[in-house]
Amino acid sequence: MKLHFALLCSLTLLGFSGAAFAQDAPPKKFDQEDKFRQLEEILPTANAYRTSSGAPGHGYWQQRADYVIDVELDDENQRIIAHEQITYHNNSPDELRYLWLQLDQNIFRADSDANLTATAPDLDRVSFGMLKSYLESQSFAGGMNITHVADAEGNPLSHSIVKTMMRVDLPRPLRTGESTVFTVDWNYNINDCNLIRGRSGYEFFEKDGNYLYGIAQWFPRMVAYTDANGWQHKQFLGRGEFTLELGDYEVRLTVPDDHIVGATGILQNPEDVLTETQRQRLRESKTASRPMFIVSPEEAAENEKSKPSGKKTWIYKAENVRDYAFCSSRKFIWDAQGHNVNGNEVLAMSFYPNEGEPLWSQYSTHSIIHTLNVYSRYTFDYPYPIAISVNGPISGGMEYPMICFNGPRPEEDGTYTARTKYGLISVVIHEVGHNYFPMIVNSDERQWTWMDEGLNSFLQFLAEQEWEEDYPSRRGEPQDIVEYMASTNQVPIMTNSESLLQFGPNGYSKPATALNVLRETVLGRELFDFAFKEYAIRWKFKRPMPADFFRTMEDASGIDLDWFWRGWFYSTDHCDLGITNVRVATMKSGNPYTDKAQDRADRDAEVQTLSQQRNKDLPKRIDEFPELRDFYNEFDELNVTDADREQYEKFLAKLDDDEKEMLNSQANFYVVDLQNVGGLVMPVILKIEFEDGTEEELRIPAEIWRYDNEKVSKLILTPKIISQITLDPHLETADVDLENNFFPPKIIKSRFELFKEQQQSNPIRDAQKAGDAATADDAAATGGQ
Amino acid sequence: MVRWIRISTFGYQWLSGTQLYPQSGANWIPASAGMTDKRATERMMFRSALTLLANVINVALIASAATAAHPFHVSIAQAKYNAESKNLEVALRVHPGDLETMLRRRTGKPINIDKTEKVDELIVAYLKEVFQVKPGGKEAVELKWVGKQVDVKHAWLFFECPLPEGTTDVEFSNRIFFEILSDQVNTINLEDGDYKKSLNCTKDRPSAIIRAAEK
Repeated sequence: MKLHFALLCSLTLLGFSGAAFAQDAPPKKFDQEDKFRQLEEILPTANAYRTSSGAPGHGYWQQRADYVIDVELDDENQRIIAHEQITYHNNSPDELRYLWLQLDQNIFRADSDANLTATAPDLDRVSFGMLKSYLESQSFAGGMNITHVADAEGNPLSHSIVKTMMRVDLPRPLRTGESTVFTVDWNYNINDCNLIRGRSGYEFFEKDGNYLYGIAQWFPRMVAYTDANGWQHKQFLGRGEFTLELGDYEVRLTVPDDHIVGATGILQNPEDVLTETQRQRLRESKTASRPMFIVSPEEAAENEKSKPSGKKTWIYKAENVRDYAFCSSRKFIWDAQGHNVNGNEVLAMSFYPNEGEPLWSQYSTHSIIHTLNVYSRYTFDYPYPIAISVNGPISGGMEYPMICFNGPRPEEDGTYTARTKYGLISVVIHEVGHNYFPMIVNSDERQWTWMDEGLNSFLQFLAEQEWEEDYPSRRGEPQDIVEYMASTNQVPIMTNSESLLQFGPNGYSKPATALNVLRETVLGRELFDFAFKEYAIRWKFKRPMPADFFRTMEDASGIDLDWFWRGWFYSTDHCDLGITNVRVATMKSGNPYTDKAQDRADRDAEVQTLSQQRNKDLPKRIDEFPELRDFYNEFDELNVTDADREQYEKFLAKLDDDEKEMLNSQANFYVVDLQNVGGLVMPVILKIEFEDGTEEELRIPAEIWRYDNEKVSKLILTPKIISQITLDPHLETADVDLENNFFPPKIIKSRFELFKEQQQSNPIRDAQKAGDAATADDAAATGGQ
Repeated sequence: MVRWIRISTFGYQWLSGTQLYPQSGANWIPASAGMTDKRATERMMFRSALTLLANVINVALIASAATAAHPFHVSIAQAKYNAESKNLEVALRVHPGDLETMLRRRTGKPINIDKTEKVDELIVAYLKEVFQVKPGGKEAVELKWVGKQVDVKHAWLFFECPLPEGTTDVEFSNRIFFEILSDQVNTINLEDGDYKKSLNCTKDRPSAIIRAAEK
């Protein structure tokens, strides 16, 4: 059937001046980048260790390292003195002639690469605090003193320290399937976190003369040896955290006898280190319905005045962890609550000084349990027996297996802002959440920040939104990343951890948002959640690479997402889709009476030129001499003729019933012209509102852009009249420019303009001018967004 | 001043290996490459030393405390040139906690952005030092404060910079929080009609000039 379209009107939007496409690329036959080009040529070739479906392969292996450590915390001199015995298992198919260890504390040496490559401060904006830090970093005797490296029999082993790493040479090669035992003795000075920021250290409390220690990255640890990279040779520069081998630990921590200790693993000798009351409370806490104190705030305040009478040794065991950390102080309040995660009994505990109160006893342990509940649902059940959150000594947050350090504290008078409260809940969720990524799903942080920070920030967003309605999450919502996406000076997510330009937005916010977009907009919750859980389960206690994540998400969802990874992870494109034009057409019925009547109406509606209008009433010669008229003067092509009728009958006779129905449907054909300004291909979400007050939503997959990723048109067939079309009506794609998202067009005011308008018509502001400035500032602040 | 001498010495050591000007008094700032006129060099150094001294004192009133409570050492400004009013209209998004920490350091007093009396004045005074717009090599233009919007997540600071000659050959810099965060990145998303460009201000590259040729 041949359809006859009559273009009734063409409504062009405001002049569209999108980014011009660079023309300096060498000429080729098709001048667009293929945004759907498969990733095969970028991703590593699958092999026996890692399959092309993203799962561990039949030949998958990973090394293992078990540790027995004796450590003394010297509270007088803020030092660590320790001895370790490492049992290293070579599960690789390779023969190893030497082993590499990480000596992360060497980052604090004055001549460390981190210090040497630190660039100058802006001397116009330098503070005493910053200068003091520079000074301290030059004078602090930091770094590990390795005093002895020996084999199991005590014979010295040749070793070589290379910056933040140490090579231990083996007397004979370690063959596949073999294990070796060796020992290291070392000591180091602990950094003051207030002067030299680190991921661990001590905090000194001037008011009571006590120290609080958060000790991590403190022992020589086996460098990861992997099928993908061999030894992980990226030196520690501070940003890229670490990647290690899983193993079992037995750690004997000797501390002043008035200290309270929290650590990775299960305490083996509570009877030696805890009072009868503390042990009783600890037992009760396992079945408590709310966090309960093992050491109360009052008792902790009392302990602050104590002086040690000797030392105590706390003995811990931890299984299948990739690292080990602990905290120690006489200032600690300690609360605990047992929690059952689908059959696994977990003791959630918090350690904090009175400076953390009243915030910490109210929120920390609750936040731990909430995290375990939500994260376990999206990944796997939390497998460890303990989950600890410690306040201090670092100011932000830092994660280790089963234990993390979190900074937020209330003001000195015990009051706190909403920001501090939510800051604490969020950071506890985030750091406890790191147990899943990267402690258990053991990705390589030194290479790829996004693999743990991005995935974890994504789950953090989900957990926050289950804490309370409209929880003020900083990242996750697409609209919160629009400003960053719009900026032109950035690097892709797939950039090494130490080279990220805007670390937070790049390593945390963008991947977290990308995953949220993938879940809500591209795959839908059901498909996404299945695939994400599959990834977590596949790589639980294993070591995934980026390709394993990309491939698993496709493999388990059944959707080709190469365009998504290419756009969000490998490029710096942003989403800016726009409606450039909407054309409307109706179908001619073929009936000469209605069609010609419509044509006549159209003709009558045609513009009369000025001359035509002015000439209209001039006397005409053919009126004066009627004999000058002939057939052509009377003929109107829009009159229905016998021939028209005959043709219509023939036309109707050829139509089947479906075609006749379509002909009578009175359908309107809307052609929506779309343009991709930002470069990132994304699904097209259209809200269509009709004149009769109804609305529909059209969700078009990103593949609409697969032949032309710059301009496409979409046909909308409807018997109704469209009054309004909105692109991305739920703000789910991080579209950076909303001005081109409407038909008919809307002017979108900038944030500045909106604020200024609001200022101009703000009764609270008016009141402020007359009265108390502080009160009105407050009102304006809370009335803001 | 005792502190100053110590820092001065430290500065000398710290810069060892770079081209140093003979040390005299507090003048330890190295001569910048390409500066040949000795008197100009001395003037520049003297001024730099004074500025440094002033700035150090400015922010040293209370003891330093750790600040980096999050890995988001970034601010982002939407800066749109209004051709009608000839103003650069700026909406600057910063982390509210960092802003409080910074003001706390400058004033030596606890600051609550929502409640502290006349906190806007403190913000404006600081902003004038760090957010600078200099047309054609001239002095920074006077920043006109419009107001702020603060919630749990963000603090948005709104202000205008008069640019009667437009944005060409204007130098932009945003050094906010450089005093407390050595890896702070301040992005300015500049928009002037169809021209869009992002500038990243870091301590190593604190400013950028928009040249006519670019537009």
